[in-house]
Amino acid sequence: MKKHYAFLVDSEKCIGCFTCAMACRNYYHQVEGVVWRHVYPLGEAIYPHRERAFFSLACNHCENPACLNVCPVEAYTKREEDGVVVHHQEKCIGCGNCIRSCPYGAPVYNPVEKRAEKCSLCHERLDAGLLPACVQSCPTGALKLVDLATLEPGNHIQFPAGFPKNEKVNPSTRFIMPKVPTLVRR
Amino acid sequence: MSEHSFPVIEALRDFFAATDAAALKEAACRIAKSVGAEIPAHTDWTAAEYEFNRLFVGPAALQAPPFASAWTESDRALMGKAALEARETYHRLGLAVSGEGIIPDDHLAYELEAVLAMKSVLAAGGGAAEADAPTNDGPGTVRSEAGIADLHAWFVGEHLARWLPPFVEAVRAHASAGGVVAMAADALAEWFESECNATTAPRRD
Amino acid sequence: MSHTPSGLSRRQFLKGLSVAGAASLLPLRLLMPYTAQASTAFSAKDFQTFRNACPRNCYDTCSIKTYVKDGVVQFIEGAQESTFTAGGLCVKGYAYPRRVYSPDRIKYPMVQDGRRTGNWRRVSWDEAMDRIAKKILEIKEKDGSLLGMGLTKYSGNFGITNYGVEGMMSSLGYTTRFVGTPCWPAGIDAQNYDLGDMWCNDPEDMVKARYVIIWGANPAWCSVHSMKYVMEAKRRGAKVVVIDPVFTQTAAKADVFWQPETSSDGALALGMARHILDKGLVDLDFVNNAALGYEEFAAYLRENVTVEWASKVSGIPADQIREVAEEFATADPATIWIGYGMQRHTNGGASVRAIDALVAMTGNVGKEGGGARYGHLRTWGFNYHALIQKQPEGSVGFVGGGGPKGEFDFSKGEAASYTDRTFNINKTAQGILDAKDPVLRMLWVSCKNPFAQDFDRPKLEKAFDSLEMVVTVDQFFNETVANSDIVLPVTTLFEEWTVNVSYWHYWLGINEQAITPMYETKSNIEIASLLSKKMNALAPGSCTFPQDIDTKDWLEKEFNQGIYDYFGIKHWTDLKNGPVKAKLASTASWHDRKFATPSGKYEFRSDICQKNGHEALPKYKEGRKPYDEFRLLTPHTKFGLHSQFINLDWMHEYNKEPYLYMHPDDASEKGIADLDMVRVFNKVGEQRVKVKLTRNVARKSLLIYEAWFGRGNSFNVQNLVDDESADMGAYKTGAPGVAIHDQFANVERV
Repeated sequence: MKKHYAFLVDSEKCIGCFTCAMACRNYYHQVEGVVWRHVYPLGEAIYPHRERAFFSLACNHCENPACLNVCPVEAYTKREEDGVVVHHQEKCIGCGNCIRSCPYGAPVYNPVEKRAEKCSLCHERLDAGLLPACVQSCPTGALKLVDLATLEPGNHIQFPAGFPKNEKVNPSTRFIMPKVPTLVRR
Repeated sequence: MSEHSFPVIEALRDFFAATDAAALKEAACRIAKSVGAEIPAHTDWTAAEYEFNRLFVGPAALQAPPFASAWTESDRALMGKAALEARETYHRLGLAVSGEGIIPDDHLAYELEAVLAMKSVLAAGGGAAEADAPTNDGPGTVRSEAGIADLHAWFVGEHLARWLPPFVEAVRAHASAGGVVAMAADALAEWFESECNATTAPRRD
Repeated sequence: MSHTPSGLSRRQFLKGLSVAGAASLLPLRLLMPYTAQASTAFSAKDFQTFRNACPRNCYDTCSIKTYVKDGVVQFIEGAQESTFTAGGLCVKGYAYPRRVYSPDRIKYPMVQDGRRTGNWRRVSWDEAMDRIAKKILEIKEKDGSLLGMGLTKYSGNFGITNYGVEGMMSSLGYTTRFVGTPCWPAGIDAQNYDLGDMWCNDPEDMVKARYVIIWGANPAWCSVHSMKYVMEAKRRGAKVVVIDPVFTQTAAKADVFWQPETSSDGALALGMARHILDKGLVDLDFVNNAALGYEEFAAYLRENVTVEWASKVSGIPADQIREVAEEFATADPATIWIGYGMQRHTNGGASVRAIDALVAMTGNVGKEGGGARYGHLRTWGFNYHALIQKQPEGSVGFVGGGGPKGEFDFSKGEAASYTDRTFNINKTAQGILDAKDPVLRMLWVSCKNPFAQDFDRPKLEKAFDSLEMVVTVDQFFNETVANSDIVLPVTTLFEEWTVNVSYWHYWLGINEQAITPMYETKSNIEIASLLSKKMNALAPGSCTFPQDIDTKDWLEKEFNQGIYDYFGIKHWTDLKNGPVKAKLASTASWHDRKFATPSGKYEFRSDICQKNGHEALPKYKEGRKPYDEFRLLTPHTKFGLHSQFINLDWMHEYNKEPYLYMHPDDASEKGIADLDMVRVFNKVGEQRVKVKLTRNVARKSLLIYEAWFGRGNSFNVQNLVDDESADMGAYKTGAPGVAIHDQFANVERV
């Protein structure tokens, strides 16, 4: 398998602190309402305690990206060298095809630019040998950058409960599920 | 209006740069005079100052921040790209905001003054401007009349056009009806419309 | 406006120009931010970088690296040099660029014509200082002293030079000070009685612990960088137990979570201690050789404490208490992180003493990876040049007082005939209302937002209305500013020189001025020097604060050889290369078992404690009696630090409004459904808020996170919190703490 960068979201370590989300905003200064990375609390059917377990989600940099496939102006490219799906905003005509097609809601509409945008996996930082802003910021190592080509098998999964199972696009993000402690209540 | 003076722009600049009721009154009267508006004799200038501060100065959250970045920069952050565009424009004209970085370069008063500077040079004739230009200008300084006309067209048609309309809308939404702030907003809108209409698009040969 | 832009896109315009041979007219990088293939690699060379340090009241006190371009802060990150910060900040820290460049920042000195009218006028710094100085001189003239002028300041900015605010007050004369701390005083006193000082292990050594109890602390929200050590200890095999009345985010990461009755912590700790005693798991070497009064403590346990009693008081089953007690006593080393939340009670100090005793009797005090971790001020050995200023000659003050005190009061108190007059910071409103001979006429507010943080907000408004002048120094327009006459704009961390240390970790970081201060903002010491200039112009000799200061010089004046040696640096400028950590003989506090108590030993029996009106032994003390149907808890949110950060629109993106959290069974009894709007009310006041139902909170408990949302949202938990004192705090911080979590309220649907 070729080198393919991906996010590893370790919910066992994640403390839902939103540091990753704000690190992204601090680096890119997105428009109000435009969020590249969000921290979603898991529903109580998945984790039994409200707002106590999370998935930190951004673009999944899919193997077969829906956004790229539906874009009429080739505003999306997938980098040969590491699989990062790049949106070239200057080519974007704001048609919204990608926004409607992505099963994970990664591309979002920027009402100021009148174009789409999404997580870039900080490829300009990767090219300089740096980690993506979100990954660097994570205080517990819950958000990691991994290469799917070399990722050792382990307790990570591709389609956890609460994450749409779309095998066709083959999202690259991998997840480790959270644990529940023994509860002793009065 | 004389070809070499631009009293509305000057009055608007001074209005938005005002720091107290006296300065507001002085500038507002000039605005009224140049647009043929009436300022009611019973105008309470201290109340006008309170209103002006609520909209443009603070200390509470501004109802209509008079900075381009607040309207063009995605996240309303000041000192954004619009401020640096303004700074760059001033530099091309051989000008700069005093103490760069203290007050954002894209404050409305500075931007109006830049328009004033460009129009003054153009009105005086570009040749003269070129001849008088100091020799130690920075790189990229615009000397030719055509260059200034282009810069002016861009500044008005692209830069100001991106933020003045929503800014004026916000001012109108928050200013008290019939007050001097509303009058200034009307004058600003009117001036800007005529400025845009009178401005030819930059050359693109 | 009917105008449509010229129709030319910016791109076409540039193209046209470049054909015309004027490509350099406007640079591509400004107008075409997403140019070409956007794969230009990031280059640090495009930026100037600066060292900053987060000055908020936080365990983590992060070292920041700031990237500046064109004189504008572009983005920030955590310093890589600090193993604690480790390259990352937190959700709050990453929002800093937004604070500087928010259009809503307070930009100019302004005067309000009538409090809460919103009628503000701009004044020059000179005019602002003139009004203030004349008022000060008027007070002096009228009262014959300056005791009618008060200062309320706390933890809004812990940059060391910001103690210049206290310095400014001293330089004017003897004034009234609000002293003490709403934060951690009961625990400070407790640790001083037991150990002789508050001194915790290096948090980074938690990885060595074999057993970790996090008791009434929520580091997953309030010390995010500490969580990696807890997780690493767990990965190495330690068991992690979290004890909290709320199922917190930290609890969700534990092996075992205990949800005891709120404020029953003392009983729980003593029950565990009794079981350890019964099982013969006491560290006899420690209690016999390094401790005082152990036998008396053991006798107290035998006579007054049983596991069953502890179970009954706390609600935690007896077998659980036994199990965890045994595991804790046999793990080596074992540690307890004592949170500040668990001591914000009328029995908080007593509870901390009981937990200290549990750690001590198992021999875990003085051990790497062990310890009763609470906090420390070991790294705070600065000169306090800005703080220590002399009163003008002939100043008249308070007679018979002890002068100001506080955990951060580093002035070496000299015996003087006059002192400042002190009021309890936790009873600000009452203090203002009760002040007599002279009354309090003027209040200076800095590094503090009393309307968001002081207790009994309705009373505070009445108190403020009795003041003749209120001056507030702040960055954003909050309710305190609305209740002020004069507001002065203060710099952000990027706009001033200072230095910061933590009360938790052992790193030291410089804070460089990264950008020119914007608008007319000034740092606290610059404001002090301006006031001094004006005072001396109006009345020569009336203020001793230096009138012309260079803030970088003043930063340098804070350093001394002791600091250099402790941190192993030659000069403060070494810190420009990144933060440094203290050269510790051991990561353990009290590693040589030389305690700072009168006996030099760990004092299970503290005579000082008894002298100060408490029990000599760490005996159980009952909590506050409920005064309403539900327990009300108002702890910290993850999106803010007290009243800071939550108002920023970057934060609003992730945290839009406040909620009340309550148990679904209680809600159904009250006819309340999820997301209903409810009214929470008690004897203090009321607050409307939306409700979220969750079993994270216990039955008969209401949980609301304290916050100042700004943006027109008047939400304020201090409408529901009274100013009842905690048991301890007066010994070391000048005033008792406050029982923030001993509050009660009722709730109904609206």
